[in-house]
Amino acid sequence: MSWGRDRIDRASRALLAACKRDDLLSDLEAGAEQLRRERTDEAVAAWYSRQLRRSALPVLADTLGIGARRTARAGLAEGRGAVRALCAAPGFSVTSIAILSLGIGISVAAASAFQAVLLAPLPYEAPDRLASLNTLDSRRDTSLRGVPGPDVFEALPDVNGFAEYAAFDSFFAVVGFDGQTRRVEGAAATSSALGVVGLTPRLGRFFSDAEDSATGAAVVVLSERFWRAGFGADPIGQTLSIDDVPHTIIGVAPSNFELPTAEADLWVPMGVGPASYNRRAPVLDVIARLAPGTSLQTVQGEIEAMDAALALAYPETHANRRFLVTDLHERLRGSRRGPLMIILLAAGFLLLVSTLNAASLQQERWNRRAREIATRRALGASSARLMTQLVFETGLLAVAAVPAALGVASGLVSTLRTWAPAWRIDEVAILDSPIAIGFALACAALVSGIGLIPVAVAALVQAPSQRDDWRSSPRASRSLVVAQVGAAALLATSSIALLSALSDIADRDRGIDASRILVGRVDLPSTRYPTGMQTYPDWPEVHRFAQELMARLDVEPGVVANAMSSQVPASAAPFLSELAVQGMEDDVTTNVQHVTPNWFDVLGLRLVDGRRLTSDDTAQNAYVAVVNVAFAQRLGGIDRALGARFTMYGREREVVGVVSNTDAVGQGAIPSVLLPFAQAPNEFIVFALRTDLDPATMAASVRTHIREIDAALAPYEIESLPQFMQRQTAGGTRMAGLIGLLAVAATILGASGVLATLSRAAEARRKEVGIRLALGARPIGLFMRVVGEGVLLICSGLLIALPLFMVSWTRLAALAPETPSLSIASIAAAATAFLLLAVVSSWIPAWRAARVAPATAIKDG
Amino acid sequence: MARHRTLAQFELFVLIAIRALGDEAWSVAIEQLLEDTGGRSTSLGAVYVTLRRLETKGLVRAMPIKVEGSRRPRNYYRLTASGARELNATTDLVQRMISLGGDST
Repeated sequence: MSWGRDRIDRASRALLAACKRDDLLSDLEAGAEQLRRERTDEAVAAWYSRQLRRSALPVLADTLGIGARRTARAGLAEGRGAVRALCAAPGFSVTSIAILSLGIGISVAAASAFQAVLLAPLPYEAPDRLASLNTLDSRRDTSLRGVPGPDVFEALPDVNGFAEYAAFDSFFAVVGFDGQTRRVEGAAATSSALGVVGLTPRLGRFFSDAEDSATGAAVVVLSERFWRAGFGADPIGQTLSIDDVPHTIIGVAPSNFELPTAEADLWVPMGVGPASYNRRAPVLDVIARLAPGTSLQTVQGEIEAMDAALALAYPETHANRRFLVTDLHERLRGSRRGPLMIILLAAGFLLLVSTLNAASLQQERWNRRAREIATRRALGASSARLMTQLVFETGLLAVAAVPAALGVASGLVSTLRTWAPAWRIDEVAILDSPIAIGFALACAALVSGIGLIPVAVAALVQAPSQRDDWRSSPRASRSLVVAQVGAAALLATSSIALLSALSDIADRDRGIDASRILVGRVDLPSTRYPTGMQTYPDWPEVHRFAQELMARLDVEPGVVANAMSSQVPASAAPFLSELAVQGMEDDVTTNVQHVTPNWFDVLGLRLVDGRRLTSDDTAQNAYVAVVNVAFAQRLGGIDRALGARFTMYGREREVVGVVSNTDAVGQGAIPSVLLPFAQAPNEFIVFALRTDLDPATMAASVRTHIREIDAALAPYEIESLPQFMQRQTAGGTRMAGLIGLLAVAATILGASGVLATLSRAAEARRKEVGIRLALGARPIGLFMRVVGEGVLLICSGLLIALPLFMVSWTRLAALAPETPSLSIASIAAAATAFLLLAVVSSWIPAWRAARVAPATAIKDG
Repeated sequence: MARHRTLAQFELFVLIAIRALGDEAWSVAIEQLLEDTGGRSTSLGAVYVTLRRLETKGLVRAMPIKVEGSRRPRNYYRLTASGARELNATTDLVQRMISLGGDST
């Protein structure tokens, strides 16, 4: 007999013995003995072994079958008992289910969003084989999204590690269709764009190679969202204008095509070669599919060889530049990890608070049933039996909360979808998702488990003499409440501190007088506003538009001053450029703005030295620039800055003035150069006007003036400057609001926990209170004593929460566009709010305690 | 027609084997008979489980008898009146069905 077979025989024998089938084993022995008379020993041994092995399975199935039926019968009886017990206490049951469904629902929503956005693979073919290529500035160790066009067209075809790649050049354009104009985000793309990720068009087709050429036809592919919102019927073959150029619609991309960004609504053929792009500017998004058998690391090695060759060929642009291959999932979804982790963590805290609250309720209920339990114990019910009942009741509550929790989760995901559309969590369908339902059930099981702990501890840990008394100690109740308050206080403090910090960012002094300023944008299409570099800066149509708009706004009632620029003041996205100043070794990273002379009046910029830009700074006169103090400091001081010369847009320019700094949101005071609009026009116009009226009331008339000048233009983002600042911090504000909502729910639960605990303590000490009052104690003293207990509970919770908050603040602060200052006042406000809550929640039990009638209390107690 | 309960095929075989073995119907003998005459491989465990089930249904009765050389009494099985009726009814039914004729191919 082989060693393996021997082990199986022994295991089978052990199994039969475990199933208590000794009579079968005995029959087997007897059968072997009998067979030995007529068969050889080997034949008998083989028979015996075969019988052992073949008998194990039917016997085990038989045993389990009988066991399962018995358990099911017993379970049904316990289940019926639990349902009856919960129906007998409807208030408790409904409250517990509501609390649990809130906690579980919020957790399911957060986990589902996390799963859909960060864990689920991208909705493309073999998504793990997709990569993105980015540029790394090795001097500053900063990563820039994109690759210079010439490198894409010249160098990438030689990279063997890429089986296929596609390039995208994002743009905003004014799209005209059916007599209406809209500004939409789009991208010029190579013909491989859809195929590289393995998608096929939703309708029609994508560009052909012939269309993706300099002589290709003007065709466009729409996003499914844009098609549904703007067209309705079959759009194929219809025409729309993009910046006044008619394009034929040839297809609709599927809804999951979110390249180069999730906001792209149309794609046109790139149709150009390396000559159309500047080797200095990494503007093209590159997505590639790895060749079979290639990894990201091996492609990175190949790319590094390409870096070296490019650095040798183009040292002026590529000496400090290299390319980095990254996973596409990380590029598209990585930025959402931080906020989602914080939501998940906050939801987890709320689940904890709900669980602790439900556990408190459960504990309270069992305490009230102490007499019933004692009776049952006296009648012979074992601890195991009572625990089984407790398990069934707790489990039933948690499972009953699951449908409501899924409803809460579904509603929350819809809200999250509206609040953060860029996260693309529209594929989350809570009610149809087995994962979400499974997670909700897992939460329910966890909640049941945690909910059982206090009563189980009370039942098992108490001294044997006290085992019949299942009432848990007041210390356990207080611990539960302190934990609830701690978690609620952590959420509330985080929300208040983050909101306060973000509001501080929006209100921060940025060196300009932002009140009563209206800003807005309008893009001038090159078809009617020619912007060729050959004629720069002589762009008569652009200048004419700017002058006419300024002239119209100047006479508009309420306008104090108005100006044109290329950038909204204090924008979080400045236009950075490397500027080579004569006599300076290093280039200066500079924010370049193109402004009309009134810009200084509109913003209230202070002249530090030299002169401001004037209407004489035209293309016919000397080319000049004004710089800010930060730029002057980079040049070694204001004296050295005045008269400094640099070349920009093919013209040498002299610095004639230094003005005060303007802090950009998230960037601080960065060196800035302001060029006269007449000497450096820009087709992407930002207009700003100072008014002595409410800026919001001016928006309509500004829009009318622009339409009167050119009806085909589509002005956008017209808002007051404070509103613009606020929008820069909108993501963080939304997040703080979300945490705040969770904090409110957690705080209500925590407060109800304090109320219940103090009520119970007051009730338990009714007799003692009666005696004290009979002996002359003053009711106000008893009142203050109960309130003091509430304050102590809350303070203990705060003591847990505040150190945890300090640890988590760094991560929270990362949600803001610039490092927010931690306001001690906001922490103090949160602590004060919780202390007030302590007084409010302990008021009723304290009032009841103080109103106890001594005689009744002593008699009843 | 009198109603009778449905017997599984293996239960029917075990009942037939018990009737055939008479006073010698114990688990190993039943298993041996089924294996020798049925041409199908079975196991003592399957026979054992089926016997317990038939006993629960009241179709067979176990009679523990002390056997020489064995520490435990051995269970010998006999058909109960109800078991004999069920077996006869089932075999009659099979006979009637067969008498209907028809081409087996």
